[in-house]
Amino acid sequence: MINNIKPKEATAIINSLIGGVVPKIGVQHITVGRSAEINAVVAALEDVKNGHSMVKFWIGDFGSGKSFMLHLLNMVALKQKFVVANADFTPDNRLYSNDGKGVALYSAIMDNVSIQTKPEGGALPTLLEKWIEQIIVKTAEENKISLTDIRKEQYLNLIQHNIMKTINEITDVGGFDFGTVVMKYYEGYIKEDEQLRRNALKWLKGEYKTKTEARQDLGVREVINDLNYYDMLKNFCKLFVSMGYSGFMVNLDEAVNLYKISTSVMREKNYEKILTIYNDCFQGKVSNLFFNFAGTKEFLENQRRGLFSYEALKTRLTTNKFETSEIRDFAQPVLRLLPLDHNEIFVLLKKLKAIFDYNYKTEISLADSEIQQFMEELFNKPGAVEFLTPREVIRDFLSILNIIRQNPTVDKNKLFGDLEISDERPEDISLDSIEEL
Amino acid sequence: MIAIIIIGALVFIIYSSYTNATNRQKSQKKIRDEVVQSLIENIKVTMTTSNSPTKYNDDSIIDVTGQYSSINSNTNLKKYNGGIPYWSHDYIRSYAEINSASSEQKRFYSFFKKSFLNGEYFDLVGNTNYAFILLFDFLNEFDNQKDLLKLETWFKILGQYYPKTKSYGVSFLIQKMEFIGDEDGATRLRAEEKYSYPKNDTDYDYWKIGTKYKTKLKLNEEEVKLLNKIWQPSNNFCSVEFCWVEMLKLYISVINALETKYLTEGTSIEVQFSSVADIIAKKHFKYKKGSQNYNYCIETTTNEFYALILKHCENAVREYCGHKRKISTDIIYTIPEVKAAFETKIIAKILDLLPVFIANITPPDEATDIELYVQNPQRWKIKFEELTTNYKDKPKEFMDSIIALGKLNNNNTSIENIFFEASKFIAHYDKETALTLYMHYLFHDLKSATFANKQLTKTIQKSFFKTKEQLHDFEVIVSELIKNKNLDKALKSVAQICEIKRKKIQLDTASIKEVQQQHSGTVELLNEYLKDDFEDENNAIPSQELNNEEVQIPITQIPITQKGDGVSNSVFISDITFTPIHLSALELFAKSNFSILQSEVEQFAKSKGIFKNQLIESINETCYAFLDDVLIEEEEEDYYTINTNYFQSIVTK
Repeated sequence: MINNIKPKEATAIINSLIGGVVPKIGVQHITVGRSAEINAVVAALEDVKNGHSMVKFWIGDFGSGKSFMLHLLNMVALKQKFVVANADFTPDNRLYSNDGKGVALYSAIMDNVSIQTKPEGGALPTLLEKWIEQIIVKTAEENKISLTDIRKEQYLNLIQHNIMKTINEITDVGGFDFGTVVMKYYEGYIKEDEQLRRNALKWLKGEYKTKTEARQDLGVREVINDLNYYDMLKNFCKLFVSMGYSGFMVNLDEAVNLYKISTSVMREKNYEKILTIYNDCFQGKVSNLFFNFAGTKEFLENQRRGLFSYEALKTRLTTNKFETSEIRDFAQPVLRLLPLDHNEIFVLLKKLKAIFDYNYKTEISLADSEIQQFMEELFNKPGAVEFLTPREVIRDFLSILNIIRQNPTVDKNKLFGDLEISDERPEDISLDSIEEL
Repeated sequence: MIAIIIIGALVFIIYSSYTNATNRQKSQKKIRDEVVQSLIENIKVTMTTSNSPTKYNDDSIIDVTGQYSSINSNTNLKKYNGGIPYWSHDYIRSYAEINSASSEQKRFYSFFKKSFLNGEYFDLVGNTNYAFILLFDFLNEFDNQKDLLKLETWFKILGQYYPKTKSYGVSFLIQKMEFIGDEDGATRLRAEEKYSYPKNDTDYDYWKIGTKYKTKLKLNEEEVKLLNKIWQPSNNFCSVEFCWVEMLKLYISVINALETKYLTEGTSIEVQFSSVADIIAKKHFKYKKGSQNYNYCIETTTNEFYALILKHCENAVREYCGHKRKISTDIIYTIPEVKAAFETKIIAKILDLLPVFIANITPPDEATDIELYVQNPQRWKIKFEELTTNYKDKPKEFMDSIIALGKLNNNNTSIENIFFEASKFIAHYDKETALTLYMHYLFHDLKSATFANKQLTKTIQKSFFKTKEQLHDFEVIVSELIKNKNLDKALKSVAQICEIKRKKIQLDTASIKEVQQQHSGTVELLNEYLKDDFEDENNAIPSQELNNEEVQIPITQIPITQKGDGVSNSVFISDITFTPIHLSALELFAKSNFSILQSEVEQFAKSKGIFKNQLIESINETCYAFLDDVLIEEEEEDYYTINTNYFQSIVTK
């Protein structure tokens, strides 16, 4: 049942799940009941790798596994040489605004840029230096200068020329300023001007608020703002691909925060931005770009405030009319995460017990009938219908396994009876109270 | 001739018809008398006397006999033949009110007075205004002549022939006597007045509040006098004995405290009240000081003050008992000076004192509560709010409290609303309690004048009944309750539908197998995607074992590069190909115990003409495929650290 699992994966799975978080490694071993979704994602990643672009909407209730799926996606994408960025929508981060909230989302994305060797984010300087290194090598070869000499200040112009040339080749909008800033970064390195390098990074992350400041520090006339940050994201995507990466994947979670925007005009503008991204990706205007949005059913379907309130999106995102709960279509842009059924949860728990036993080199005495009894007890507890999530089921199950491991004679029935379900939903889960402005 | 005969005939006809009519009248009268006589004779009267054999005497039985006795009335009054001019009954306050009389009335009054003084007393046939005008007329004459004896004589005669004026006459006489210092005379009159109580019913004190509650409230003489100055207001609230008694207790406490307060200010209630009354009499009524009106005004106004204080006390008790409606404590005086004096000298002080004594009011007993809930149908909301605010997740306790509240409101026309609101409130916490209370609501709603049949909101229904069957069961219970009004049965049925039906988890072996197969496929697929090029079963890193393994090679002493040798001679396993710069960097790490400042790496990278980040990234990338993790990690406090276990694993053994 647990073929191909590595001991460190087993340890990571057990420790992380007891703590209620998704493990960093070995996630594939607990993907019970999500086979179809994963197949769809893998196929999508292959497509993006091959130059297509994609937008997917991960829709599910609280605790249905949206974040788990994004995490899995993240892992697979990193392994597949994607540059990945994760960000959450918050009341201060959104796709469109005129008060800096759009560029705030951009900054969050750029801060979280990660690659396989830097999976925790903050990989932008690394990527930049890697690219400049490639330019340096290219320039050295073109001019027949040794790799050591080419870094001397006297050849700065050559490097800068090549940087600008490459940038011009790969960018559409804002390329000049983008190239100038990268040149400044290199100049800072050559001239040992740490501040200049920091300023260049600051500009690239969209942290300059005024043009005057940017001009003083870097000599550029533009800054990244609410209106042009999406172009800059596309530029970065092209840059990453030119460096040899498979593509750029942007995962945006907590999309319910867009639903919560109280001004209908502002909400619509944000949905319009989603439409732009959607059209760009599916009409082939950009390549190797993969956007994932995760949100609740309300965010998608609410006719008054959700994506379906925007007619152009509604027509694009409406469920395939031939789809049923049995016959699913995972090629659609919208992927609905349905709750795991009892059989799937049973398989998951059995799998977890096997991993647990493997990790602790033990054989816990817990028969299949007892796993079923555990499930029955838990699903009959008050509140189970309303707010029992797989996270809680798994955590309680592993906690019980831990107790049995350390106290083999313990009364299992009593342990099952003592289970309690708590409402772990965030305070603002009720969206009825949001006032329309 | 013929004419004479005709006239004679006419005269005869008229005479004969008159004679017939007279005879008929006589005969009718005779018949009536005979009928009455026969009725009287036929009335059977049983006389019960003290001589009856049972010797039982019950005074409550009034015997109806043929005997009669005339009611004692003044038969010496003369009838006035001219017809006394009608003067509608009014409260006569002074002689001046003669001015409002008509000239005919005035004429008769002059005649009436003259006759009175001459010892001729006419029956006024209910027009007592003339007697009262005369009374005030005499008072005015006294003011001019100061002849007290004459006044007393007149008043006595007046009281004798016109009894309604008697008590007023005595009262005025006492006042006048006191005014001129004739205390003996005043005492004598008071004694006479009291002595005459059984005959004249004029001992008003007997009916006054102080006398009435003397024993019950254990009042002293002063307090009795104090309460005798007020009258029981005729409203629903005061008709509740408990409330009225609490009002009196509060009133006494407040007046006593007011007295104390005035004493500390070097004055007294009498002085303060008189000074305010003086302002009212002079400014509002514009009476001349010392005049009869002025004196009367002072007296009545002072009494008004006490009545007003009582009103404030009543409002305080009403507030305390949760009786929403308050009585008006407005005053009629509009002149700013009067208002200000009244407010500052009396009312402000009362309002300061009241809160102190409100705490001493006894909470209403059950009977009072029931009566107050009837009088004030929305009063339950106060207790309800208290219950909901203090709700502590104990639905059973909440329900018991609501049912207890319902019992107290049994006669309240709004009783059903208590249960409906309670049901709505508890619906957020406990389904069974909510439905039980809803049944109580329906039961009381059915008994009310109009059956409103309010429904639970759709949201609540949705959250209560997960299936249509449950909703249907509930609707059946409701319709049965409406039909047979059997609350107990409905409550039992509600408890049954609320019982949690344990869900049985059905597992399907075939589905489980399918899920397992699918999952195995997914794991394989993902393993394929997540697998590294170098990875196979043989070189998977057993981290557990690694941790437990004794470190056999002193890694800090490893010569990373061997002098004179190239990369191929490095100490690292052949799968990993480091550049010379990488090897130098790793040597630098090894020398610094595998943890090195970022600035040092920066310096090193610069010396080699490369970027720091690029250097670390390229080393990590070189090892990643083998380690499945990063070799060099960026730590806090600007350090780079190499995981020694990983390092160990990439070194050739």
